[in-house]
Order: sequence, then structure tokens, then C-alpha cells
Amino acid sequence: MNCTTMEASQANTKRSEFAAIAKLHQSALLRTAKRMCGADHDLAQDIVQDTLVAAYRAFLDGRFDGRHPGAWLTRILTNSYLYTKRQNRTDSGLEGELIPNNESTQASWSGSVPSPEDSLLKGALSEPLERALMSLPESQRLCVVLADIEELPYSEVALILEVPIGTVRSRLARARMQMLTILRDLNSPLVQP
Amino acid sequence: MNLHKDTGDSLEPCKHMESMLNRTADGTAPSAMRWYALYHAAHCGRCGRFLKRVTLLIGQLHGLKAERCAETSEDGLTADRWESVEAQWAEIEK
Repeated sequence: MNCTTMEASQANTKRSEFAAIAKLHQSALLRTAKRMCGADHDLAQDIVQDTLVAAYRAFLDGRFDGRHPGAWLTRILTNSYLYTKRQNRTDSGLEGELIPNNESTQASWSGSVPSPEDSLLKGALSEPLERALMSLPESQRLCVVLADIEELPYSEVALILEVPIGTVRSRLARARMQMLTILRDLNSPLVQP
Repeated sequence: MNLHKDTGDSLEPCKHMESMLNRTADGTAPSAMRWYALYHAAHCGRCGRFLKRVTLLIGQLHGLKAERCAETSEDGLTADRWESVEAQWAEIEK
């Protein structure tokens, strides 16, 4: 076997190995991306696509240690999401904080009319918990997705979002309070007296 | 210990307890903080309710991950997206 053939064979092995990881985790990544993006499902698909490309590059460079592929991919996904949002803001001429911590930006779940796209998201999004999650401002929603759903350590969430750990805690506290308020309004058994 | 009047329907805990109760609920409170929060919650109706609710909420959110892991590949990237990903993988290999 000559060198070129051997290199091609190694690349195929690497590709198959990574493809198996990607296929195993892609639906989970897409769900997480949807939770980050809110109703923009095309953006969620874009971000997962970018994630799998960036992750493959890292995989070939030996930057994946073989442990916890789900958490590793989630970190790359979050960075892809933040990068995309930053690019969109730059392209549209918007400036300011990457993830504005402005409570006034929060969507009103009660007043919104679901789009056809929303209706297509069967099951989960219509559940009160998902609705409460989607009502949060982006800065808080990301903290909840990473810390409370993905169960990443707060130190890691702080690192990914580039904020102090105290900010992660305070965003989580505000987010949980708001979710409880919404769940009460939806008559969820979670908050019945 | 500062206890506020319990009206029975308030979601909010005593203001000075909110952070401690959150950290107790998510398991990141140091032991002394946890002990104090539990002691306070045992004597304060609304903090007791808040702790119970926020603990349940966090449990439900953890459950979303398990639910997500059980999903099938039906809820994944579209076929044309996969083609594009594989084409980009091939580019990287060059």
C-alpha cells in the first residue's frame, strides 16, 4: 500500500468514526439549538451544520479527548450559536452586548400567536415547561439550557458565555423565578399551592 | 431569622433567601449555606414553597435532557444539510 492510499484509508476511518458520533448526537444538538434560537428553526439547522463542521476539524486536529462527546459537541454548538448571533448583529449594524441582559427584550408568551413553524414542532414546544423556557430573554435562556438542561458546571457555563460565575447564578435565579410565574399562570401542577 | 408574612399564594421567597434557596435547590450551596436555607425554609411558608417548587422545576429541566436523548434521528438535520456537511468534511480532509 503506498502513502497516498494509506492516508486516504486513515481519513476514511477517521471520517467513519466521527460520522458515527455526529449521527448519534445530531438530533440532541438540533433540539438544544432550537431551544437556543427560539422559533428560528432554519438558524438552528445552520448552527448544527456549522457545529458538525467545526467539530470535525477539531476531531482531525486531535482536540477531542474521546470523553463525553455530547458535552463536547454542546460546547462547540454554543460557541457556533454565539458566533452566528455576533455576526448577524455586526451585519445588521447593531452594536452592544452580545447577549443583552435587558429584561425588556423578553418575549411575551401569552400574547404571541404561534406561527405554522411553531405548530410543526410537535409535542415538546407546546408543553408548559418549553413555553416557559422560550419566554425567557436570550441571556437567561442560554444559562438554563446549558446549566439546568445540559447540566454543565457553572464554571464552564461562565467560560462559554464569557461572564462571571455570579452572573450565571443571578441569571439562573431570575430565569427560574420567571419560569415559575409562567407555569403558575398556565396552571402547571408544578406550582400549585 | 427574618420571616415575612405568608399570604399563601406568593411565588417569591424572602428577598435575602432567594440566592441561597436557588443554590440549595440546584446542589451548589456549600454545606453551611444549605443548612441555613433548609432551616429557614422549614420555618417560613413561602420560602418552603419556593424551595420545593424550584427543586421540582430543576428536576423537570434535567428531565428534558433525558427526553432529548431518547429522541430518534427523525428530528435531525435534513438530508440536504447532511450532504452539505459531508461535502465540507471532504473539503477539510484535503
